[in-house]
Amino acid sequence: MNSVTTIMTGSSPRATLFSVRAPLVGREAELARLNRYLHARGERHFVYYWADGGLGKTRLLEELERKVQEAGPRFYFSGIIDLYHTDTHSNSDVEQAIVQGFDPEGHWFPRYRSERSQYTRIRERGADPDELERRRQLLSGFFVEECNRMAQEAHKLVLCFDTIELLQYESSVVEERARLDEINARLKPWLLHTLPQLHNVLVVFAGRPKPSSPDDASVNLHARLLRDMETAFGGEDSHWEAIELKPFALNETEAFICALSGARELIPTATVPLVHRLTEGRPIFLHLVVDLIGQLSPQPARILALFDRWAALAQADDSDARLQDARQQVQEAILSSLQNDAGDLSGYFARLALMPKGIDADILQDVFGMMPPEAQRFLDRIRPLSFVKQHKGRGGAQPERFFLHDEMYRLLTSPTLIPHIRVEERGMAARLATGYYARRIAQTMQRLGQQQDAIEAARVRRQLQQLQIEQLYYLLVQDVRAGYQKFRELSDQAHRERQVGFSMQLLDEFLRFYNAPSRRRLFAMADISSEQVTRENALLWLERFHWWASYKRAIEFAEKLMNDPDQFYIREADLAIWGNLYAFWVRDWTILYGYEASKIERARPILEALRQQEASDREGLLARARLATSIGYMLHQGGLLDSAEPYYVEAKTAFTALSSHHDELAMLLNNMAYLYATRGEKTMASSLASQALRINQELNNTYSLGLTLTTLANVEIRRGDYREAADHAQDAQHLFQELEDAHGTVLALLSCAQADRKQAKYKLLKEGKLEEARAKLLGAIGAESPSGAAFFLERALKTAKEAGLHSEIPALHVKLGKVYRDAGALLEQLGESDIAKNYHGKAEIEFRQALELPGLNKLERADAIVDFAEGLFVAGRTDAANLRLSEFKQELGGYYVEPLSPAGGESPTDQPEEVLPSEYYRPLAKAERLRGQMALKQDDVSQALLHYTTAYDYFVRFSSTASELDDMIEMVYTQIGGLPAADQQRYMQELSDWVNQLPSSYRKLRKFVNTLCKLLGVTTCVEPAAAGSAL
Amino acid sequence: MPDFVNREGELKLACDQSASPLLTFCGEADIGKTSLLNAIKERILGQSPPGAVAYVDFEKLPPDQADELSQWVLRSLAADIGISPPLQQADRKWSADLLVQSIGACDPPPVLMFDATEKLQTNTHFWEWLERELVRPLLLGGRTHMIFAGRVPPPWRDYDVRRLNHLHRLEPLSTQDGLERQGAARDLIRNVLRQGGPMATEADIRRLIELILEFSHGHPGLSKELASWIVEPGAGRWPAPNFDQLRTSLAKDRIEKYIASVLFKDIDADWRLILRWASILNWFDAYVLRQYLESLVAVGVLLRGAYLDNWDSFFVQGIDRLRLHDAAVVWERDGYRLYGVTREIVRRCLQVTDPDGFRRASRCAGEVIQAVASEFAPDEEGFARYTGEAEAFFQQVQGEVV
Repeated sequence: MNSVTTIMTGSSPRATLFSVRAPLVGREAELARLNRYLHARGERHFVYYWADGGLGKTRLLEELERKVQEAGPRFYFSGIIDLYHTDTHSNSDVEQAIVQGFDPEGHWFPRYRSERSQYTRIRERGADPDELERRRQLLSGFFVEECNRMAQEAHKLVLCFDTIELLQYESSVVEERARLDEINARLKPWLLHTLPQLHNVLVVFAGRPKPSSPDDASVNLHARLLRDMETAFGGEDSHWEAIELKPFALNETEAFICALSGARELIPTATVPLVHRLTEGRPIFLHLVVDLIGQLSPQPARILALFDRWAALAQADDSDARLQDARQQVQEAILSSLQNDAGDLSGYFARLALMPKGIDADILQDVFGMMPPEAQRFLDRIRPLSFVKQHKGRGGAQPERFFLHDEMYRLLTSPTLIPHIRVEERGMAARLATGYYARRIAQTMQRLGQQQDAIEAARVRRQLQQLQIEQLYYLLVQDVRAGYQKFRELSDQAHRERQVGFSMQLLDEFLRFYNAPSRRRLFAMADISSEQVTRENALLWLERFHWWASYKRAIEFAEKLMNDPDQFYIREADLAIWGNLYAFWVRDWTILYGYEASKIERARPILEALRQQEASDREGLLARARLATSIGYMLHQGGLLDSAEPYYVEAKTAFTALSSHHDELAMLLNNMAYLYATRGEKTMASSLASQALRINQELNNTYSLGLTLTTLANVEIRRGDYREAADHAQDAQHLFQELEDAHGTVLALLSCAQADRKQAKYKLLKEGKLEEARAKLLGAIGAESPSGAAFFLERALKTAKEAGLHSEIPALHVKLGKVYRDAGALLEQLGESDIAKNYHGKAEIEFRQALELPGLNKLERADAIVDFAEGLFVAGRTDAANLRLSEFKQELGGYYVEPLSPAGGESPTDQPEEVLPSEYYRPLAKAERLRGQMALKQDDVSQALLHYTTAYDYFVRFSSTASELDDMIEMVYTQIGGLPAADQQRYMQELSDWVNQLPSSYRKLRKFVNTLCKLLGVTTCVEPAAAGSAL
Repeated sequence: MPDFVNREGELKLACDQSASPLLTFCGEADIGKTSLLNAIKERILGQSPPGAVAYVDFEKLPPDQADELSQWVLRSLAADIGISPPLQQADRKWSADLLVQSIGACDPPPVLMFDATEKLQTNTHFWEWLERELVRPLLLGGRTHMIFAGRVPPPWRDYDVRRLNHLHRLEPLSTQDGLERQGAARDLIRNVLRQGGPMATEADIRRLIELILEFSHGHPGLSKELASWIVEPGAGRWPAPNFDQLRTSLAKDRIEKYIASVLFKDIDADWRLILRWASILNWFDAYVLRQYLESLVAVGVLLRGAYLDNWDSFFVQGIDRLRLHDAAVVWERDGYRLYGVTREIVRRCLQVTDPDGFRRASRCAGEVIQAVASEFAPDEEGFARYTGEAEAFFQQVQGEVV
């Protein structure tokens, strides 16, 4: 092998056998135009040059770059942003490329850079999707704002985009029919929307037309692109032009050949017209012909003889069939010469043509076994060639890569000239995908796993994504089936990690491959129909919207798919697709609008059908897991906790069977834990939350970890371990603060406040430690750092207001009102009635604010009104409290349940278990509890006991394990425990008689009465509950 | 013993003073380049008045002169021409200038011949020097003719040098029968056979000629070699008691050795083996050749080589060397193939020496090409094209086509 290697290393000291960059010929008019625009300060020009391949579009852009550099200071150039390259496939990529091009020193874009960096950092740590989307939307605004600030000082900002024909391949049936090609995460809409907002710019595009859509031949893609660009850029205060770059005229061909040939006459004057005709005046081919004659061919006369053979065609009509034959022969001669006469580069060109994602020293080492210095020498040799391009990844994400000119790729892999090239192409693709890329990806993943710093992790992740996209291309070439599967897997992962740019890069890479007619055939041969791709792509879009927190858009899109499934080729039998579709629809609806029974009714048959499917169908199982989660979630949010539970359990079983989608499982576990915690099932809640905690720690998902810690805090509050609860809540708060996540921070502060408030209550009621209770509510006097429930809530409110979290503000006012209310009551007990009054007043203000603001739903408003009424009662304003209770009844309307009443011999009917969503029973119970307190204040013990008993019944209906149940028993015992024994006996006897009359659905009250009797030492008790119906 | 037959066209071309001043003969090993140069030399020296010839045979480059190649060339030329330039000068350019001046002053101007150029094919420094200091000045001087012979053309890069270069590829000798000037291979073989002793009958001679041509396909070196071997005095190979045995013996005892020592000389062992089996293929690229070799390994025809683990690197660098240095392969329209008539020689030898392996390899080749065909939809041109090619291999397995 050493001797073989010597061929390369011992090669000629001449860098290459080819001539270097071509001179610019025949573009004087365009250069003059661009020069004019360049110096038209304050004006906005948008120019689109279009032409077939190899006509010198890029060369013109290079010349413009030179002109900008020569123009002097305050002329800024973006660099030629070539959309060919993977790292320019998303709007964030392009934004960053422009910023870097304009401002490499970092003077002009402080806000954009800082916000981008922050966005990247918090996304890396796993932030709330809402928050991420909000920030992402803002970034483009900062970009425009700071570009325009720079434009005020600049003579001109010049932006260049090459290979924009790829924008025409961004769409497929799904994007077209659902108008998804308009969403701003996509590059084309971004260009069309953002660039017209820039001032004092010259924007130059270059591309070649793609005449028709692979899905619909009647759709002229280029005509559409032109139309869209004209609409976007053709404003009143801007100048728009689309200019076709023509092939060289004969005199231009002569000049070009002359410039390349130097002093020699490589091509006789008489032969030039024929050369012009057979190369169609394309600079790239003229360049190759000149190189062939001037440098490569051992016998140039043979090449010239080839042209002479076709001398008769110099004046032939364009329709002459011989022209096509002759052109092909010329191309074959060029190809043959490249293969045989380019010295030691010959063998390599053929292989490089199979690597359109470019080469660098690492790839050369991996594929060809070149040692690093040798690989570098090779790259240095091909660097100056006219048909070789270089691209350096932004921010050092990738070393400089080398590419062949598009036309060289086409020539060297021409299926017309080398039909079996696709076989070798597949072989090379397999080699790269499973060798080089698989290894690099594994190494990069390992580095990412070890990375602690979020910004550095984001940089490594970017490298990883770049490699994954390139690998995707080669996998598609190697085997469209495996590549397509990879595309779906990576997309799913990108969506769930909220990697919007990566997701768009993946989609573009896939569509650019899929929409090429020659590639489309391969899908058909692999039994992947365009209908399948369409429906699966539709689902991917729905997933994108969901994971990006574009819930409204997700709902609209899901309904579009449901209403017109045929348009997207979704068949009745595509259960997994239907399952996912309904899962996201129900979930996103719940997030935005809450519980709606009809939605669940529509989704249930799909879930039922999924249950009938084979357990081995993983896609079906995932759909089932998701749909069950969504239905459970909607029921949960609707307060139907008991109904939600089995769906959650079903979802958990399915996710466990899948052994994948751990992030979704963690979210489900969070929800389940919260449900069980709300119901007072602390052990269950604690176990599930701990499991979620482990998963989130493994996934290193900070946001989800914060949510789990919040859930754990709530579980501990219900368990009565307030110290532990406070620890969890504070840990969560730190994580969310690190992410700068306002929503999470508010959630964690709420948990901190809740832990302190509950602890205060405990200190007050159980231990009688009034000062300690005060410290928990209002903060310890002289403490090093502020604390107490009121402090946490005030901070939460401030955070929510600053972050514009309007929907969360009313509930925070309610919580704060409750803390002030409790503080007022406590201060009354402490004898500080003036301060107490102050807090009563503050509580009233908070409750009023909460009720005046929009954002609370019916249930939340009702709950807030009861809390308000309780506050008024505590403040001694019983009448006002009664008025609020009337308002409460009015608020609930049809959801209000008349309390039980023994008056007039009425006997309540046997109520069904779920006459209302169980969540409604909680405020009803609180209202009855308040009425009991009011009755007791008026010394009407009998009435108070009836209200308390009714409240107990309602708490049971809310949750049979609600923590309030024990609190009720303790409260009633405390309140009547001081009465004389005879009175106790009488009141309990009355209560027992009444309860005994109640229908069986009230049997749970028997425990309440019997427990009180036992505590009070009263012998008369209700009949024990029938076997099997005990609590 | 005749060592030159019927390259009249080439002889005429070389001796024609009005023809191109730079003539390059190329062709595979032992195709007759050296014989042709010798014949040209003899003819020039035999002219009246006799011409002058300077002859540099790179095959004879002493190993200890490799570092002083240019000096060795200059000395060789000067010695042949009979001039004594101050070649001890350290300045090579000065020495070359002096030689160019001396050659220009000769009357008649000598014809410079350079044989076995492939020996230095990859030494681009040397060729750059020779082109710049000697060939180009002499060509522009307009009086000197130069003839180069090698397996592949020297890597001239100067446009004027290439423009004046006349490249002539030496083909195998014609194997046709019965026509004067078109039966060169037969004449050559007949002459050698006759020199070996009396043949039984003309019929026997004809039979032997057919046997030799079956393997040599008109390749003069091999034709001569086989004829000599058959009639080698005292070896008792002819008359042969069993003609089929003679065929097998010829392939095994002589042709295989000839391939190894001449046609595949300097090629490393792995590639020799690969090319032997690749001779069955009409064309190959990296992927097809690999698939084919893997198939051969799978059916037990070939032992798995370590090169398969590092194929791309092995292939691209190996092909470059085979193409640039050994002239053993060339890229044609479909892909690479063994150069010239070498493929037919190696392929036929393989078929005779290992008929079972040949059949199994043909099946492998058919399957690989069939797999290529399956990449195409039935309505695509490639489908019919490669299916047809695969079918030919399958027929070969059945012995229908030889």
